[in-house]
Order: sequence, then structure tokens, then C-alpha cells
Amino acid sequence: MSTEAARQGQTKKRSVGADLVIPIMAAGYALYYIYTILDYPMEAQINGLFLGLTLCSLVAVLFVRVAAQWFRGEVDFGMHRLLTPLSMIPSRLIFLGLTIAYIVVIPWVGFTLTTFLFVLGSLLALGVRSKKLLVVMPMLSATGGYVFFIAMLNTRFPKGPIENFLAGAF
Amino acid sequence: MELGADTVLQLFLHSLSLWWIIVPAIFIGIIMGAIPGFAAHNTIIILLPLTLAVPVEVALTFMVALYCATHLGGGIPAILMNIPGTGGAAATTLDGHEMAKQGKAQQALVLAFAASTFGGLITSIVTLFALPLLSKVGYYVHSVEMVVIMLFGLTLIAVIAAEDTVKGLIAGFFGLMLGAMGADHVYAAPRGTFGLLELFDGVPLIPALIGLFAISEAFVMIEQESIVSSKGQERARRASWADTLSGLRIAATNWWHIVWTSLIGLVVGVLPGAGASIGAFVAYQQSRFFSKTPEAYGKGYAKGVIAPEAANNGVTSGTLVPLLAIGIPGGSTAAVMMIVLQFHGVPFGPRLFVESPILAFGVIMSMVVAYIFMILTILPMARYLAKVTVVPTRLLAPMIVAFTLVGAFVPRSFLFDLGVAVAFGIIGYIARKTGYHVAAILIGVILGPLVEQSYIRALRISLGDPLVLFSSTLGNVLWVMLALSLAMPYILKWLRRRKAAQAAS
Repeated sequence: MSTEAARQGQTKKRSVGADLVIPIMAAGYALYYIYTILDYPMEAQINGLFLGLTLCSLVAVLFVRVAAQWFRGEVDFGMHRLLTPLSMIPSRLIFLGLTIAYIVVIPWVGFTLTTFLFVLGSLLALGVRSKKLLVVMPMLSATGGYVFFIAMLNTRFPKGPIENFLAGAF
Repeated sequence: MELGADTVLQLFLHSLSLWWIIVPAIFIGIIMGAIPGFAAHNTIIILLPLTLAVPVEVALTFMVALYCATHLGGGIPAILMNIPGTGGAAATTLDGHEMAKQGKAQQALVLAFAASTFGGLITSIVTLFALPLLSKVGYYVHSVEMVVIMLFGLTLIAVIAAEDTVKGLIAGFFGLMLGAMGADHVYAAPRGTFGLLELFDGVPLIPALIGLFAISEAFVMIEQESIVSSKGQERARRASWADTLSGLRIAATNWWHIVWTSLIGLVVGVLPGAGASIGAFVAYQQSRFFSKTPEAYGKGYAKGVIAPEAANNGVTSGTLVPLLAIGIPGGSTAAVMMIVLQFHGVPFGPRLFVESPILAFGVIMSMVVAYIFMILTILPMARYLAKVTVVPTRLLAPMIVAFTLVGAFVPRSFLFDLGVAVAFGIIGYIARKTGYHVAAILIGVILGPLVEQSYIRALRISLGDPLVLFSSTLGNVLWVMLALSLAMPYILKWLRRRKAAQAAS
């Protein structure tokens, strides 16, 4: 009975580990910021000190609250809130990888071709298998993006083979 | 110049005759406003050759119509995809996107359009007659009051948007801290830049907006099949013109709500630097505060869409007041307009009303006319725009990332800014999943440099006395309101508990 109660108590625990990621990032940045202004004149420091110390105090309040809840056995430090649904982790990571690749590749391949490849890769990673969609969506995004952003609005995106060819043709 | 009935009629007819420039400006404004990154000032900058080539009154009418339309357009992706097209639409996501999730996207869009256009119309008419009076509001607000107003705005957002106040405040102050990145205003000493030259001028705002809202939303979005719940999908598919009419009916029954929340926007807009994002959140908070059903807010409540949309269009009228009356631009779009006016040799401030009264009042009248045209053009589009919510997320997410990253590149043409957008996307994703509202972070990033500017100015004027922040009556009143807004959720909770305990005993 007591084991049953203990198990029930365990399942009722809230996971708050993920809730601490933003405060840790915030406090970390605040401390780094304060470190970068230590040698500066007071006027360059004061705003950073005011904001940084307020932020660190707020983070401390949250940590104390979480520690109290942990001592009372109400919470654990699991990361479920951030990671769930677990089945989507591979798709999310591939999508993130493709987004970073988009930024890395664009200076060499140009906006139009990179957009085509990014949309095609993302659709495949997210489970789209219809051949029609896999052709039409990347084509539409690349062509639409070129016409609207480059041809009409003259956005100075990096040029690649497609842009150079079209510039030469027209 | 006396603003009699005949003058008003003359101004109205004159503005109406410029329909040929107003209608295209509205369409461009709505499209650009709906794309995160292409705010009104960017669009005007892109179209600068046009505004410099045409006569000054045509240029002003074009810019004003485009400006109003971008605020309306910003609400479209905020409702449909939880991505505000402009910072002013961040508050619209709270209830607008909730309505969309329930399959009521069409109704939410109609509410937003009706609140935006009628709110904008009302405030532009008020501005037309109260311009001399409104222009004096700016005189009472100095750097001390500006610091308190900005902190007050941020506190409201933290209290409203987050599921718990401490988390909301951490998000807001984290945003302020990130916004304070870059060179300081006096010595140009770099602070918290990780040694990156591209961050010397501070965090670029558009990539931050795109990352926090668009990129993070795309990553959250792929965890579900569709934006709309399965129940809502059926409702969204069945949507007809009746939903448009029902949205209009709800807006009409809430006409007084539109009036007073748009007036809040107008007053906030008059304060230089406060902007549409603060105006919309203040109106949302006030709407909830005076509501008989505050618990309904944040769950897809009509008034939660009406208040921020009416207010952000009220800000549009207000922003022009300091530009026209005292020659100080109230925001970035007003600053771009000022440059165009300068190019055309038009004076500002009191001289404008003496030398070119028709032009001065004509600007506001063209706003009135633009809103009338907007009502007619945008309402029929709601039914078709709402269909976006039933598109599977695995098709929407790659498009959102690809096209919003374009927006991140536009303002500075730095590829580095695409990386900034992705970095903020990761922060936004973690924040969304763990209950830290991204709107609080974004508003902090926007206000960070502005708070510092006003704070340093106040310190300089007071010869370094930090107590200067408590030296003005208006400022002190605002401090008390700030403290009350922080304490209010706890006080209300305590009162409710006491009432429940009394009822039980």
C-alpha cells in the first residue's frame, strides 16, 4: 500500500528541469554582460548593472521556489516538457540542421536554389511523400521568392547560378 | 486655420480624390504587414524613389495609407499562425490564434479587421480635431516618465502573457538585457557582444522578432498535424459567409470596446518611442482588467482580439501627432516620413500648420479615407485567408522558415542576421515549451535600448542622482500603478480564496 502511494506520489511530480533552461541562459548572459562592463565608466555600466542584478534576483527567486518544491517532493528535474513528443526529436533535429545548412550554403548557392533545396529537404524530413507536392512546393517557393523578393523588391540576396543565369537572360 | 464643417468636407473630398494612390498602398501595406520583417518603414524605404518622385501630398497620402494597412496586415499571420507580422500584433496572438485553433480563424480575422479599421477611423477623426491638444501630451513626458512608462509596459506584458508572474518578469528582463547589448550611448563601448562586430549596434530587431515568433513557431508547429484542433478543423472547413457576418455582429456589439481601447492606443502613440507593441498590450490589459470575465482572456475571447487590434491602429494616428505638431517623429515609420517631408522642403511643427495647413490636416484626413477603403477591401478576404489554418503543418513550416529568413536579411543585408534569427528561434522554442512568453522577451528586446537612452538622459540631467527616477509626480503615479499591476494578481487570488473560504464556512 505504501509502495503504491509512493508510486502515485512519484507520478504526480511535475518535471521542472526544462523550466530552468531560460533562467540559466538569462542569468548566464547577465553575468557575462556585467563582466564585459566592469572596466567601463559608470554611465556605461549603470543600466547593465540595474538590469543584470534585477534579472539575477528574479532568477534567484525562481530557484528558491523550485528548491522548496523539490524539498517538499512536488517536482523533479526531468526535461519532458521540452523534449516531448519524443517521436518528433529526429524530425526536429533534421529540420534544425537543414535550417542551419540553409544559412551556411546560401552565400555560395544563391537564394533561389538554396530555397528550392531547403523546402525539398524539409518536406522529405517532415514525412511528405507525394511526388507532386515534392516537385510543386519547392518550385513554387523558389520561383515565387525570386520573382517577389529579388525581381520585384530588389532584395540584395547572395546570387548563385540561377540568379546569374536569369540576370544574363533578361 | 479654423477646422469648420466646410473645411473638413473639402479635406475629405480632396483625400477621396487620391483613391488611385490609396488603394494600391492599402494592398501593398496589407501584404507587407503580413510578412514578418517587412514593416511599414522598410516598405517605404524600398519604395522611396516613388515617394520622392511624386508631389508631397501624394507621397504623404501613400505613406500614411501604407502605414495604416501594415498594422492591419500584421494581425493576419498573428491570428492564423501565431506569428505577428509586426511587433504591434504580438498581443493579438494571445486570443486571435486561440480562436484560430478552435476553427474560428475567419471570425477572428473579421474581428481584427473591424476593430483595426473602426479603431483607426475613430482615432484619426479624434486626432483631426484634437491635434493641438494631443500635441501637448508630449510636453509632460520627459526621460524619467519614459523609463517608468516602458518598465510599466513591460511589467503589464509579463503579468498578462506568462502563466506565472516571476517567469513573465524573467522573460521580460532577459529581453531587456539582450536589448541592452551593443555600444553604450555615451562612450560607444561594446557590451555583451561576444566580440562580434555585427552586434556592435545592438540586437537587430527584425531578426529577433522573426526568430522568437516565426522560427520557433515553425518548430512547435511540426509537432502537430494541423494548426487547428481536430474539432476545429471541421468547423474551419464548414466556414462560410455567415462567419464573416457573425464576426461583424460581435464587433458591432462591442463598439464601445473598440472606441475606448483605440483611444488608449492613440494616447500611447502620442508618446515618442512607446509604440504599437506597448499600446496593444496596455489596451489588452485594461480590457481584461475591466472585464466581468477576465478568466476568458487568452482562451480565444473576442474582446482579446478587439482590444489590441483597435489599439495598434490607434497608435498609428498617435505616432503622427508629435511629428506634425512638434517635429519629433513618434516612431520609425514617422521618422522615414520625416525624411521624405524634409526632402520635399516641408516645415514641421507649428510652422507646418501656419504655412501648409491643408497638408497638415490632410495627412490625418487621408488616414480617415484609407480606413474607409480598407473596410471595403479587406472584409471579403477573411473567408479565403482563414483557409491557411487547415493546411497541414508539414507543408507550412518549411515555407515559414524559408520566407521569414528573407525578412531577417532585408533590413541590414547581413547574412549574419539569418544566424541571429535562428539563435532567437532556439530561445523562442525553449521559451514556448517551458511557459516563458516570447512576447515578453521581444518587447524587452525592443525596449532595452530605449530604456537605457531615457535612463542615461535622466541621470545626466540630474548630475548622476539615481533618485531622479522618483522625482516627478507623473512618474511616481506610474510607479504606483506598476507596483499595483505586479501585486494585483496576488491580491485578487487572495480575495478569491477568502471569498471561497467564507462561502464554505
